Amino acid sequence: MAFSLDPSNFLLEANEFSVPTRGNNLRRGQDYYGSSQQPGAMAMPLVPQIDMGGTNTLGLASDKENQLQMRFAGDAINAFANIESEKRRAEAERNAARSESQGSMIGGLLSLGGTLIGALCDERAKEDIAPLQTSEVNDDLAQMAFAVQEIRGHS
Amino acid sequence: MTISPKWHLLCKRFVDIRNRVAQLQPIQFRYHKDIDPEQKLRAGFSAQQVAQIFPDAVIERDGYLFINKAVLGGYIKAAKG
Repeated sequence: MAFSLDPSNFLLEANEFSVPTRGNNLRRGQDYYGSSQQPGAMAMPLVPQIDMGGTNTLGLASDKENQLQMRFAGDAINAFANIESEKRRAEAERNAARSESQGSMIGGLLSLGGTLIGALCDERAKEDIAPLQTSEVNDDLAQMAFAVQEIRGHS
Repeated sequence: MTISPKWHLLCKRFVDIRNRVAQLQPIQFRYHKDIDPEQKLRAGFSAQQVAQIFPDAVIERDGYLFINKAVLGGYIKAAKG
């Protein structure tokens, strides 16, 4: 595995903002490499190589293997995080859609999709029903009722 | 002076809506205590009566009838002219 077992080194290597040095096997902009741009792929890297003072071709095979595995590990962590966040987003969307389709009733008002669209006017939910004379509440329904009463008075 | 067919149709539609709106019977009522703990006196309509005149302005949810305020409001606005 590319990461060190030493906790302080692990954090240093796992930090995408760590400054590349000769010692920590990091490369500048390593997060921008996709899986098709691994070493050996035909596509050119998006970020130029770090100037290693002419020693780019030097180094042990194990060091290069470590670099490769570091990049694979980064891709895997990113993919895992993306999958998890996508799952949570999909679940939240399903919950929202379910609550919208069912609607909810609060204080005699019907809410559908977060918008108040209906007023409970079922006779079974009311008492003291009488022809309109007065109202203690001046809501939309009351305004409509008085408007209709005015129309009935004219006709 | 002649009235165009389109204008005639609009007038007929206006009169029709106004007659139907005039059939609505505004009421005053109080909700049951579990819906409105203060039981204020409110103005409105009976959804059962509205459904006979404007079926498209009434919604049924969980066995109860609700008035779609946007639809009924549109009819009343049209009737006021």
